[in-house]
Amino acid sequence: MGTKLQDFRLGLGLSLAVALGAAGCVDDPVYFDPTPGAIEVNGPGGMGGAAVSTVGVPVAVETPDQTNERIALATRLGLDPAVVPTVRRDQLDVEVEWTIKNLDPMQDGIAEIFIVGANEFYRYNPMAFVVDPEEDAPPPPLAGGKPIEVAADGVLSGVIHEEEIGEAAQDLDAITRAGALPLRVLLARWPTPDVTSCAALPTGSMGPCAVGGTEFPTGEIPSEAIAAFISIDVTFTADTHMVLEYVLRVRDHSDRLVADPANPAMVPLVPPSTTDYVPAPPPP
Amino acid sequence: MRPSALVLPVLAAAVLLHDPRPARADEYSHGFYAELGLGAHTFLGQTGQYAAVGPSFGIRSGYDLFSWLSLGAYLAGSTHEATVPPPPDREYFQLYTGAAEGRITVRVRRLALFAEGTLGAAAVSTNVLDRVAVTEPDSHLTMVFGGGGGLDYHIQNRHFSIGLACDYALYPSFDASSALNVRLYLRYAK
Repeated sequence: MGTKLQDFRLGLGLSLAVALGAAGCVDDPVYFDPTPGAIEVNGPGGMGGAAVSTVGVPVAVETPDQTNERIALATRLGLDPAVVPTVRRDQLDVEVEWTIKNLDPMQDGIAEIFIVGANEFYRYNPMAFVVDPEEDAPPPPLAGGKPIEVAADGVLSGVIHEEEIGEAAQDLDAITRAGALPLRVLLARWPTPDVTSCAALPTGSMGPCAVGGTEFPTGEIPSEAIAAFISIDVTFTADTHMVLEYVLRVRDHSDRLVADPANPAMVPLVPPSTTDYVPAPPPP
Repeated sequence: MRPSALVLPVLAAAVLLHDPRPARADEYSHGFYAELGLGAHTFLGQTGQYAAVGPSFGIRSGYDLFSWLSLGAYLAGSTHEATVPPPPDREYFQLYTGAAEGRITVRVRRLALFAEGTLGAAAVSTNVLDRVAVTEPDSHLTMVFGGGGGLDYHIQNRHFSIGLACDYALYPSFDASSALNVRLYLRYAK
């Protein structure tokens, strides 16, 4: 009898553990809609072949305890707390889920989705890198940009995955705070989650690296100090009449995501930077 | 899975459940009970278009006040594919329920019919159903009312029974959605 009771207690304990484990699935995704909700291009009425919409990631400002945690992190990394972002890439996993409808019943089309965005320090605007519009082409977007073929009257769905958005955040930080050249980091994948210095690369290597910037003169940013996107701009282009709908899927590991976009509790949010990063002019 | 991997759990269940004594209705245990159930959960009506049938898991515990009346509580969870118009596509959400319940049982020998009613709260894990107005941005929690019944079969061991149950649930704050849950369960009474 005693053995059975022990078995029962064990069983009940296990059941509870499984149930609580299931119920406690942390970091459930939250979906955010952009403004406007759908982007239509090449439609009737002189609609252009490109359109943009923006979606924010509402993250509450730090509590004093969280500030202390950031200061402790900075100390551990040997960094000035001011260069450790309050919203870090490690705290948020972001992905873009999209659906494109080709509204042209007769003609297949090619669409492209370009992702740029802002963290709390800088906004990435490829046009800010163009010194001479006659001579210079803007650098690529932070993510996306692949041609997507959509059949006439067809519908296609896809995802720009968390890893790609995470890498884009790494690229943005490398370009803006560690002096990386956009073409060098945007066209290749980082070998590690850290932004690494060009000085550490073997001679002749063309891998992604940073030469050093104002905040990170060595060109090295530890993964834990990379800023997260808190605003994402999606540009949609197509060569036929198409509509793009997308949502941002965010998994929050910091318990600071404000899930209701209306923010009824008026929680103070970390604002995305509105400062376009402009690279230093080349030496004369 | 190797066949040998099944041997231990089956042996363990056989040892635990086996009781050589003949079963008699007055010998069945009642008192503190616990129940483990596995089944399927499906939303009905309009909400059923936005949430696929999903597996469910639940545990129940309580006390048999009499051989025919029990009061208890349960925790349950189910996982569903969100079949909302994309995007998002192929995303999943979980429904968690915690409720109090009462059960009336009529037993004839090994077999029993029971009816149960529940009152509690339920929550969805994400806001994916906001876009189809099943949930609202500021509320992913609702009261839940339900009722149902089932068939319980007492095995030879006086402590254990197995059964099949079907419950209806109403979620007023989820656009008055309703759902059916069908489960197989194993019940232990001390």
